[in-house]
Amino acid sequence: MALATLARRGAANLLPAVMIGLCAFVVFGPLTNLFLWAFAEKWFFPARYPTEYGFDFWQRVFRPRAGAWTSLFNSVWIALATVGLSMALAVPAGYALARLMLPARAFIMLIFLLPQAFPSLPIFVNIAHMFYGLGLNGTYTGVVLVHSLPGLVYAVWIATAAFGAVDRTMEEAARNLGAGPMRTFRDITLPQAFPGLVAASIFVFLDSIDEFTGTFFVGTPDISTLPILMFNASMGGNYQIASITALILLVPSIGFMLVIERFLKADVLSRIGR
Amino acid sequence: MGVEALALHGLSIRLGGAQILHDVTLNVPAGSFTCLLGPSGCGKTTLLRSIAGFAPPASGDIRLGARSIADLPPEKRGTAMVFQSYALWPHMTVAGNLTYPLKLRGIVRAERDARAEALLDILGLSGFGARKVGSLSGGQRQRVALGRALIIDPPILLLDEPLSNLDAAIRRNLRGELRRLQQRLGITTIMVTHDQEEALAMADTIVLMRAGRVVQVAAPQDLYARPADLDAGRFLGVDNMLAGRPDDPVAAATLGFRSMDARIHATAPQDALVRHGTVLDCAYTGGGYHLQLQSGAEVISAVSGVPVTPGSQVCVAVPTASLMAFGADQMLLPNGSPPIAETVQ
Ligand SMILES: Nc1ncnc2c1ncn2[C@@H]1O[C@H](COP(=O)(O)OP(=O)(O)O)[C@@H](O)[C@H]1O
Ligand SMILES: [Mg+2]
Repeated sequence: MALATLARRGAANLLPAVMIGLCAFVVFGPLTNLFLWAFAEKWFFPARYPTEYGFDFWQRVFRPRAGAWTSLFNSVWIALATVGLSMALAVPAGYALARLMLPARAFIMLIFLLPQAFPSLPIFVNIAHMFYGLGLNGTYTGVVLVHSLPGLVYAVWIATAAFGAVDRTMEEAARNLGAGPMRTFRDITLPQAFPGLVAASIFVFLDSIDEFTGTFFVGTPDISTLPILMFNASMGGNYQIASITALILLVPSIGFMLVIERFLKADVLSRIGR
Repeated sequence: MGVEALALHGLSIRLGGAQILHDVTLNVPAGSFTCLLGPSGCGKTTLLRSIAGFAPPASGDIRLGARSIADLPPEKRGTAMVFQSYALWPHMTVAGNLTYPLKLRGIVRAERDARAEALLDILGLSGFGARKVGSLSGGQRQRVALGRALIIDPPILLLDEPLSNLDAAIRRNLRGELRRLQQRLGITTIMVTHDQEEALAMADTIVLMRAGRVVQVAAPQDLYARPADLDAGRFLGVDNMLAGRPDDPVAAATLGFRSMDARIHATAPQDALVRHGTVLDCAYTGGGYHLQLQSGAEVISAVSGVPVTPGSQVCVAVPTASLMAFGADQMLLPNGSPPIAETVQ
């Protein structure tokens, strides 16, 4: 009796364990491969694992002329500028949308999503053509603009949700007690929407750090970001360099999230979902 | 700022294409406690919001003291409103909520803190200043919301169902507390409620509303004894409305009375409305029994000190003084109604 219960309990525990294991494999399998490549000195076809490990390629990546440092700084600055631009537009737009009547709001937000529904390649090719005429090709401004395109969609959607969740009577209470519209926005609305706006910033940042297609068409060869560097390395068959770049790519992402988390208390973060 | 009177002149409000308030005219004397009473959806909140500046009038005027405030934005009106949901700011502490209006008025930190401290004492919340508003009980939040409104020393206080989110026991306590505070400060107060008992217990003047119109403005005792029409009577607990008969002591199309004024008698008394009927139901209500009687086509609610067997024939009588006489147009008849003094409980 006790044994049967135990067996049943064991089986009940086993299923989730297996599921978690499978998920972990799907997520971490490729990452493990990446790690192996990043530290492989020699890894030729029949060998299942690298035959020699070392930091040789790391040195090569970080040699001043290899461009990894430049690409890293480019990536981070472009991502920060993209966050700045997207949020500067998304905060007023999100607030206006959140305070709009429902049918009009739904319609505008849908329109806004429309460019995302098209395949991105033709859009970027067109933008590159347009930017060429404007002299924006190969400039930081051009790359930031092209990164802000998908960034804005995230930012406006999340900001709209964040502002929509702010109870209107709280704004009215401030107005009632003597605060003008701008003061009310600054003191009441913004602080309450803040977690949502931070979430939007994180999304925009990560999206920009990862962005390849737009940078490729608008930025190269003058501006190289980490994804571009990685692409060039992969195309050259240099998997070590590509893997190392991919790992470096993780650094700003994780760093940004850590910084944000340091500035946010846990109770603020927990309100993002609400 | 000093206490001021409020006057509404022919105020009409349209929201989303619908007319919510129709031609409301009302005078609220300085320092008085006025209740807006009416069923849910009759426009009480809208009226309060229009005074605070959140519902622009389609026509009419709002005057506070000598000046018209109808065209001012909310922050320039100086009305202090306590919202039904309290609308406390969750990202500020209790003291932060209380002192924000002072901060807006450029008062220095030391004085802000001192005034918050003093107010917390008055509200019975000493030591709560540093707490987050999320950690407060409903009653405590209500007090903070009230304190936040009072700290600016407003000429008028607007309360939207301030007690309806609270437990019945706390509500009774706070009723008295709120009333005493209002009397001590002498501040002109308009309170919205759908609870007639609350309005009767607290108000100097009750404004009875229905479907966006003011039906009656009266002192609680007057309103209770002399509701303006049949609907007002029903809303104020007049649960019996019988067709008048020629031999009744008061001539009227409809006679209204409350079941607690209708008693069972062995013999028909003098100077009273008398009906005979069959007992349908007899329920114990604590102090006595509540009866339902079938009298012809009408059902009468009455009370009795002793239980009565359902099915038995009884005589029910209502003293003339407790009767309300309504005309064929459903309006209260000017004569034949009881003098006020006799209906005071
Ligand atoms: N912003 C609005 N737009 C359209 N109709 C509204 C709006 N606010 C309230 N109403 C309507 O006005 C009527 C009165 O509402 P309200 O003043 O809240 O009533 P009460 O406070 O007496 O319950 C209701 O029928 C409500 O549906
Ligand atoms: Mg209401």
